[in-house]
Order: sequence, then C-alpha cells, then structure tokens
Amino acid sequence: MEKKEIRKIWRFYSIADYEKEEAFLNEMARAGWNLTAVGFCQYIFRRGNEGEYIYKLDMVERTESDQVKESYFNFLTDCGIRVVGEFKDWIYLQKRASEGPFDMKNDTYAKLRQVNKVYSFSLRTVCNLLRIFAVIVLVLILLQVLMSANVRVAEFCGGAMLGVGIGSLIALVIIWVPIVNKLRRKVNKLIDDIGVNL
Amino acid sequence: MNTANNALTEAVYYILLALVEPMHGYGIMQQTAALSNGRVRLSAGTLYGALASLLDKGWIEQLPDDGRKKDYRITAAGRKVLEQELLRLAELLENGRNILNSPSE
Repeated sequence: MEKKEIRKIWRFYSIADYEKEEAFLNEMARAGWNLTAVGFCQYIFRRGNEGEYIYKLDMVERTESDQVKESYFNFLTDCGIRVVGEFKDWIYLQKRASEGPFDMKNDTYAKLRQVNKVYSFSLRTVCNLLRIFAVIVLVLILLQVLMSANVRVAEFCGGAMLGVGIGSLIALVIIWVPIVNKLRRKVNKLIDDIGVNL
Repeated sequence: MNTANNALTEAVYYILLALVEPMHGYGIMQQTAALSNGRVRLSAGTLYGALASLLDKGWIEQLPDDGRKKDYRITAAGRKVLEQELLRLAELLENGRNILNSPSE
C-alpha cells in the first residue's frame, strides 16, 4: 500500500499560545511532516525528510501597506526563509534546519517583539469587534425609533440590543481577558529578564 | 543621539561593525555569525527591526537601490556610537580584570 503523502490536522491554539503552536509544527517536522498550508484551526502537512525544516510564527499587520509587507517578505526570502502559510496576521515561516536556528537561544528582544505584536493584534481585534457591535446597536436604535409604531419590531430591537450587549460582554470576559492575562505574564517575565540579561 | 552610558545590544553592536563595509541583510547575518564564531545569530525579525530603528536614528544609511536587495552602510554618527561603545566596553573589561586578577592578600 502506498504511504500517505498529505495529512490534514485540526488543532486549535489561542493567539496567546503561539509557542505551543510552533512546538507542534516543529514536532511534526521532526517526524517528517512539513507544513504546506494553514487555515482556520487547520494545518496541512506533506511528507518529507525528517528534521529537514524548522518552523516559526511571525506576525505582519494586515493593515501594513503592501510595500512594507513586500519588503519584509523579500527580506525573509533573502535570509533563506519561506512564508509557507498566512492566516489573519500570522505568517508561518519555514527554514532549512541545516542553516541554523531562527533565533538566538535567549533572544529576549526577539521574544518581546513577538509578544508585543500579538498583544497589539489582540487589541486591534477587540477594537474591531467593539466597532461592529456599536454599529449593530446603532442600527437597532435607529430601527426602534423609526418603527416605534410597530410594537413587535420595537420589542425585537430592545431584546436584540440587550442580547448583543450582554453577548459581547461575556465574549470579552471569557475569551479576551485570559488571553491578555497570559500575554501580560509573558511580557512581565521578559522585562524581568532584560533587567539581568539582554 | 546615544548618550555615553547607553549600552548597545550585541545584535546592534555586530550590525554596526558589519556595516563598516556596505552589506545587505543576509550578509549582515553571516558576518555577525562569522565574527562571533557562530555565537551570535541574528534572527531575520530582529535584524529587520534593528535595521529600521538604526536607519531612523541615522546610524546607518541605505545605499541607492540597484534591484531587490538593499545595501546598508554605517554613517559617521554610527561610527561615533561604536567608538563610544568601545570606550564603555574597555572600562568594563578593565574594571573586571583589575578586580578579579588583583592578587589577594
């Protein structure tokens, strides 16, 4: 029987767990499965040589101009690094293991830079979500005022507003607060490290 | 500008040293690894960020573009920063040697 060449794996990592995600990808690569594409909670691997590549996650703001992004991608290419996947602001980098590691072992600066990118990404995401909620609520208010004659529509709008409000609050507390806390702990630890050893 | 007591990171120190000769990004990484016998390896992200901030400070400059790869070179201001850093490092070294090598009574 022919050996399977492509594998699709579903995994969920929160944005604060990028180190675990990286570790997972590198473990797969050591076993001979090389990442070729990334989607939402989805990783596609192709069989290759064991330990041929190493992987790293990086972030590039999607709001960055194409020129900035292109110049960074060109720079990575010049450094022997390939962008194998992109999802949201994350980019998945691949490098030949024989060309040495991505980072110095204890490069606090590089780590801080990465946490900061993730931190600002999560802030941006929350701001965008809040903006969407605000628009929804505004539309509902408008609808309620315009359709005040119709009791059922007005009631629906009131209920929907309450739902959106409470829903977004719960989503913030359950999803966002733990992520921010985790990132903050990472930042604090790195700042302590810098006091001793840059 | 850099004040006298500001230590440079190893990355910045080696980037500035490498750029005494005009060089592109990958060249800087290789030069740094060679100078430090493989001890200091710049990650692409670190180098990219450092180059941007060094350009911003005016310690390095970009040479006129002749294609996709960009060449960089140290400026007079950058050279001055390196010289100050050498003085600082010499002080550290001297104090360390004096105290650790002083014959104990």
